[in-house]
Amino acid sequence: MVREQYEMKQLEFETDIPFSSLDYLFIAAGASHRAYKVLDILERIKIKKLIVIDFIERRESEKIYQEKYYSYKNRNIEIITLNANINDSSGLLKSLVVKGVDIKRNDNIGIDITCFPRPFIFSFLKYFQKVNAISHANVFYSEPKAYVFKNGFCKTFKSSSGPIKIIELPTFTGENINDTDRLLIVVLGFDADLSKEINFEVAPKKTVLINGFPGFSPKFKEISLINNEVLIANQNNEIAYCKANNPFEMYNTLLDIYLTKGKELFVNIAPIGPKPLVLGTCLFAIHHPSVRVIYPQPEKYLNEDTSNDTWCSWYYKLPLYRVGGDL
Amino acid sequence: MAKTKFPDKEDLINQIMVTSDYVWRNKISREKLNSWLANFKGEVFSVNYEQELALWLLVNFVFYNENEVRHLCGTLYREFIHTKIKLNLENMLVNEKLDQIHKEIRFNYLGRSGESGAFLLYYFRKENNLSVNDFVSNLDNLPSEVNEIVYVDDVTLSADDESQAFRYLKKDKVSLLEKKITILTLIASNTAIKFLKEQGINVITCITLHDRDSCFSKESIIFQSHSDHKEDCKKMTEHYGKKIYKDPLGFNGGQYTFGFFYNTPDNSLPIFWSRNNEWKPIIERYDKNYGKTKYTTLGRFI
Amino acid sequence: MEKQNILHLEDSYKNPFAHYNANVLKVDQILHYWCNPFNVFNKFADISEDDIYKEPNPLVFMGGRGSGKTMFLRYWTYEVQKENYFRNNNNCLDGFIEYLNDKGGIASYIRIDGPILRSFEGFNLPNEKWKFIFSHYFELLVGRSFLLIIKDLFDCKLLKESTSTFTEKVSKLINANTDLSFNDLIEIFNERINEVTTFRGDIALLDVDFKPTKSFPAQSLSFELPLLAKNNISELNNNFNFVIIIDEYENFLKQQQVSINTLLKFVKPGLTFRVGMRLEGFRTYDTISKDDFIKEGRDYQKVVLEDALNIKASGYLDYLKQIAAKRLEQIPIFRERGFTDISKILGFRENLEEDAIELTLKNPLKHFDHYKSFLPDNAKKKLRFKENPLIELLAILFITRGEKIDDVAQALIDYKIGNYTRLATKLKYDYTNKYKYSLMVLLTSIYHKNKLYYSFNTFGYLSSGIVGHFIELCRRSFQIAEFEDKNSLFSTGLIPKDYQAKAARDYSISELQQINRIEDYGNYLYQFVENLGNVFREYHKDIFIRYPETNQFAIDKSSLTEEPVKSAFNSGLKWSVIIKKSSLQTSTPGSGRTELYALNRIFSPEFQISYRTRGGHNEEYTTDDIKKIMFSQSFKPKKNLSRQKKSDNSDNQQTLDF
Repeated sequence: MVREQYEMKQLEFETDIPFSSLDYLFIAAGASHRAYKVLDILERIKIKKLIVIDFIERRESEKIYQEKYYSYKNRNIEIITLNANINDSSGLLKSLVVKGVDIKRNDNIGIDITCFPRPFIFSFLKYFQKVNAISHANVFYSEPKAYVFKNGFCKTFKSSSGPIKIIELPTFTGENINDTDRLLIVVLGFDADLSKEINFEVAPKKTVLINGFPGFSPKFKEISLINNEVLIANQNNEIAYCKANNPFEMYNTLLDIYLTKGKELFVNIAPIGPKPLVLGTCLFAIHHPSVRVIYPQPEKYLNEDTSNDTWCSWYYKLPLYRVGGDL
Repeated sequence: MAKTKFPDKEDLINQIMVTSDYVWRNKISREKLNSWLANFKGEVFSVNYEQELALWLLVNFVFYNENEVRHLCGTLYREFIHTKIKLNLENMLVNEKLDQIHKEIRFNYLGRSGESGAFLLYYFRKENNLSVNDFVSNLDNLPSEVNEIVYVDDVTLSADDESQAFRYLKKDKVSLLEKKITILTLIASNTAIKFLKEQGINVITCITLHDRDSCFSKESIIFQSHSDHKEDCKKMTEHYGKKIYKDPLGFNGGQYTFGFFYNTPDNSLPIFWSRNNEWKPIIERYDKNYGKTKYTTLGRFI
Repeated sequence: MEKQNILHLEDSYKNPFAHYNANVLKVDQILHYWCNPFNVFNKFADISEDDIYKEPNPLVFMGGRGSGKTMFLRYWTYEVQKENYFRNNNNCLDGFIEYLNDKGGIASYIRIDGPILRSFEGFNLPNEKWKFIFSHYFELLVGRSFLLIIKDLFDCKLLKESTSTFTEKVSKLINANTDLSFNDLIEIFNERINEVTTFRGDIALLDVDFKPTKSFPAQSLSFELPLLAKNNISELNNNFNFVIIIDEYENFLKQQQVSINTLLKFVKPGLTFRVGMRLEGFRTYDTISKDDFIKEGRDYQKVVLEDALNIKASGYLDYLKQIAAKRLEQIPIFRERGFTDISKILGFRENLEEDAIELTLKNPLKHFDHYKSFLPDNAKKKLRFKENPLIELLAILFITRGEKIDDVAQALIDYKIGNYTRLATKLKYDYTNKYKYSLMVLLTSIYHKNKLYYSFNTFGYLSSGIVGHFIELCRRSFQIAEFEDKNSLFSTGLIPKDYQAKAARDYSISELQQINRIEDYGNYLYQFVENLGNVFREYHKDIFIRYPETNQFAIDKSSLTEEPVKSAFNSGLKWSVIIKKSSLQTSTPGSGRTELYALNRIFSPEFQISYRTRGGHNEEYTTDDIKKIMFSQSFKPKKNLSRQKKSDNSDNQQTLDF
């Protein structure tokens, strides 16, 4: 097996940043505590263009937090704001060039995934790889200090509301040439509603649940299991673990499952857990196009801040091209 | 002003049922739970309130089952290797570098054989498929190319000279001479990491505990909601804690709420694990016997 | 040693009702869990077992999630039938072709999951283009599935060499070289299917056109391949049918259903369809021809599985018992101790008298106090009937309805000694046939406790014909029993009613919450159920029980023309949130005939209402009412249920329907 050294840093000071400039930095506008933490850390780095994805649905519902929401504007950088529909990453990406975001192969790209909806993380990175032939992406993420539970009771956690539709993430349709049975890998999150439907839709032969452990905080590893009781109760489902802030560990975990259990099966992954693990899933899926990525798209993302304050921020250097084979 | 209302008692018990069954894989029965709750006799507040507070603490307890401990051992090793690979930037292929690293290090347990470090080292070896040659057999007779001893332990929480880790290492230092020392520990407090670093000992951990992980601290994550009950809870815990252990909030005032499948550290609140003075524990702890062996497990016929 | 054995048995204990999804069951599991409904029911939904293969008209099987639809459909597939034959024939396939000929044909199971189906739209490609691509894709899937079956028969040496003509003709059909083997042909099908998959992936980021190696319009493979097989494979007799089983049809998008509806409409001899879907799973009845549509009766026969498995139909409880027994037998400790009859473990039926006595134990006269303003001072003494608080409550009701206290008191004595005077007879009749259940619900309301929903019979009712509900109720009951008192569970093989009631309540709440996440109009449906559940609850709390066990509503569904009300209502039926009552009952005595509906019975514990069906009052709603129920925060019952002394005597109750 070809082995690569991964690069991952905790960002406390700007001296932790391993580059001096970015051609583009992509962020999603938001009013949460964590929305612009990375932007603050990168203040003295030269950013040629800041691309702000402004989701119409989010903007509408966060009107009362307008000052916080638009505080990204108070920066001395060229800013391009792109309006987007939270369920249409494809439309946004296809219009990037027209809107003045013409990424070249050798550009140094940064993306802060803190406030990105998970499907967008996939679309963007695939776009960088497939359309722009970018070799690596500089990805940033700010962890939450804690999550907000109504009455302190973790079972009340909801990240979305309204009807759910299970979709294939655009460009991650996978390859199931022989119509084989499915292996479903669910990266567990706190919102139990999301995972319940996935199992029924995919109808897998085998299910592996990946729990983010160690989590951002010790108890989180239990909350994700408690809230997904329906899946855990199924004695046929296996549980695997992966450190919640490390996408490269996630890649390794997925690779291990893929090689040991996924040989004769069509691998489906549902990344509804912590964003670093979502990032790892994305990287794995980009490197392994036979894998399908599915996602429970809700009617409405809840914009109430489900997380409370910011813990630490991370930098990941993501190699978008795979070097060598898996074995 | 009225205090915030805890979730319904039955909901809390239901969560404990689900947690202990599916998450801890260590089923707590209703009988055991009732037995533990009966410890809280209303000596500080009303019985009902005390039991609510106790249930709240139990709901926030973190228990590491066997699979999870094994996973932590794997994670710990990979973190260690990642750190080593990162530091050494010679023009070697990664696989070659791995061989070199393993030539230069030896793993050892922290503490005495028969303690948790030694127990954990076995899992560490198995989980990472390490060769037995990578482990210390005689600290006084190490091969010359070995320049680093990597100690494995489960918890490293104390940040002063009384730190067990520090005391054991001081003892070993005689044999270690100029060798680099690294501790791999499943769980460490940030203060312990800082202290040991100042002593020239590198610590790598899977789980770092901060002030927010101490039950009654200002930043306590357990009382992020229902913070108005924190002082009552502390008062109650101290009251009963005093009767059952020398440090009512856990060894060195730990205030922690976690345990492992094989044992619970005494830094965790004693109300969870103590058996003293007829206290009924909810989670097991196996105390160390620092005195003479008592032969209590041998039967009549030997 | 015995203790060790016991410990071992306990250690190996697992909840016998841990989840399963029929889609994921392996062939041997399907055979293991299979209970043939044709054997259990006197008449299963107006069809016979032969019809599965031989009925030329398409059959549409409708049922909610967990109704057993998928297991039922998968049982008839080639793979399962082959394995079944193999096991029953001394592990040998001799005579299998004759068996298939006798059965009437073979069935191929097609299930396209929701995410794939949903990917055939959007990305600025017109619907017409997607329709074509989907049709092409479907043809390939069906063609490949039939080819795989014929290949398998060939590999098992059940077909002669005449298949070479067949493969030659298939090669020609798909524009490939003529000397291809089965494996080669399947490889080509795989590649062609992959062209569609690749396109679906690329269209999201790139502006690409779909350019397949060869396109396959509707019927070009699905109809032609079976024809080729029958004409060129001599082993298949003239009446041999190729059956395409399409499952989860409700997930097909509207334009996709248009394509498939067209196929259903124009089936030819030798090929037919069996379609599985939820109720109201048809998004459209249109076909590709604008003026044509598919019609029940003419173009397909509908089989509603929930009707077939309805509690009224004889055999449903037996069916559940069989399913449960198979699961319980998998657990060593239950098997060893003979605890495999779920009706014994849960108890067969609720014991309302016992429940009432337990409920009133600490405050036996509270219900008298509740009716203080309607009763004379000596009521507590005169109407006391310690053995049965429900009878006491009924006696109180008699007083509120104008009976004299002394008469009622005497009637109680007469009832007790079996001396059936007029009033004692009425008391007995009303208690046994009309009000017992309502009295229990009312009593729990008075005592501010929850009614206990427990027992095998009750769980059967609550499951509303959906086997998955029953299994989940059992799973939760066993989980609680294990936590609360594992020793008792293992030694007695009984689960106390409290644990069952908790399971029922928790599951009811969980199902209610889940409505919000239903893909189509989940939020409207949730409001609808909340409001309606509360309306029915009001009826059940009525201290005069004027309209006992009211839990149904009547609406002329065809009057729901406005969107989104119409679609939301249909979605409620599709997802079995709303259940249509099978027979056209008189909605309320004296009114015209409209359709009757009820909430899924699984919600009964949450709203503390009856799960049974009885005649009598039903809420009558207009379109405006349905709108209000769906969109507003609350809705009031149609009838006046105030605590004022009632003036009318609603004694025109129909018989109870069990």
